[in-house]
Amino acid sequence: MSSASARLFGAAAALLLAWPAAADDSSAGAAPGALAAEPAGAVTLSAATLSLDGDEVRLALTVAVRGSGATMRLDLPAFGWLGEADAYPDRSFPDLRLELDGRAAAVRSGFTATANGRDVTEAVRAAGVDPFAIAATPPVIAAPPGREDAVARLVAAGAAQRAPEGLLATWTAARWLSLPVPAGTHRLTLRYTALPAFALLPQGRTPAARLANTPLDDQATRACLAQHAAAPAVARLLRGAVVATRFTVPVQPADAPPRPVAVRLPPERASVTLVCGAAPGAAPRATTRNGALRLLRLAPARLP
Amino acid sequence: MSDPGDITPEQGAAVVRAAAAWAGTPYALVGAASVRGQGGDCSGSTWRIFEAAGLPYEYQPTGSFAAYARRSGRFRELRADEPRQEGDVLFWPGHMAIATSFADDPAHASTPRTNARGAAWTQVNDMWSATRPGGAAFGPNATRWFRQDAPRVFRYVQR
Repeated sequence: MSSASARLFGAAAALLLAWPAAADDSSAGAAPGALAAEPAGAVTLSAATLSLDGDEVRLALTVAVRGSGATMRLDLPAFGWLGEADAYPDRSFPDLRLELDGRAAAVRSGFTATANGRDVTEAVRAAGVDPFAIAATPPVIAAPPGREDAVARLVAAGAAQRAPEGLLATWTAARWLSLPVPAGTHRLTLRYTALPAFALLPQGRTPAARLANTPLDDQATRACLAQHAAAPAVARLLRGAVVATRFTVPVQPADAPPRPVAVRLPPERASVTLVCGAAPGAAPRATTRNGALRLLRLAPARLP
Repeated sequence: MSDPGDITPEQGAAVVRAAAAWAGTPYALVGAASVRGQGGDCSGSTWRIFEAAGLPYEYQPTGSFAAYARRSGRFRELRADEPRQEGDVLFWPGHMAIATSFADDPAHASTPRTNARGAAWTQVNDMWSATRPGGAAFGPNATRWFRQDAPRVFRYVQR
């Protein structure tokens, strides 16, 4: 396996930056990305099962680990303070859990922080402040007593700003997780709450045209909608306005040949979830360059 | 400086009064199906508010509002040096709201808040706005804390 193909998940963090932070009527969402084997080539994937229940993702992978001392690393998206209108002000995936062979895995975690294009990770750590204070509004930080010099360095670096509300975090941070994996075959499970993209698709146009001017508007999503539009349940929904929610779930190495993924969805009453890229009668496969599988949920837009 | 076609300050105040009537309406991502008191989103509530103020326009989701404003001439975008007026539309990618100073509505001019560290602070409000799926009901909000990016400002034009 090449260095590049050692990545078990694509760098989906880049998706986060593909559309301005948007709230209310639409969101580009955010996805975890870049779970990679270290050293490269130490881990290979042999099977993947994705379960999506509401916004809860459960991804079960069967992996073969060669040699000792291997680890798997998961990088989560970088984000700064977004404001309280944002649908996903916390993009550190705080509820993400990793299990190895059915048990909670001994995961090491950390963060990287940047401000003005410079790495301020050590400065944030030295100040003793919560790196993900940026998820709150206002993003107020409070350093422990005796850290005044460290706080001053944060301010000087442009990573914090004094304001009437208090000292505000202005850095961008990303969380990472690292999991040691012993040699042999293992079942690795990831569970987390997805932060899907969504938009209201108004009534009265062709399915693909409804995606225009939304963060869901790309060739793959248009193709997905067009592919499934004739299915009776989908056609019925598309007679009215719908809320489209797109899940992007990295399921395999970023640049490896697409592998079949078993997808499990609970029974749906009002909504329909489409698995994008699945040929009729065939198992779905990753549809993005980042090794991600996309699912598109359509639900009627109606008052509660 | 205003343009000849701009709505009057009195009409702008009527927009703000119509917006205040939406206070407490739960968030629902339903666009043109938004209904005061029942549920609505930013584009639907803005459309209904202008309609209630006697200033109708063709419903637009946020994705097409700016293009519609240019195409139809129904709204004009304020220049950066133009002051806002009551009832202007604040527009961001994916969001829109109604600008107001709350000068005639001191009860909604500020909101007492508590930050993540438990300290009290006062939010100074400058708009009526829907929030987001799962978020608070339609109400007074502050552009400073709502979004990180500055809004574009549009004013209704009479023809």
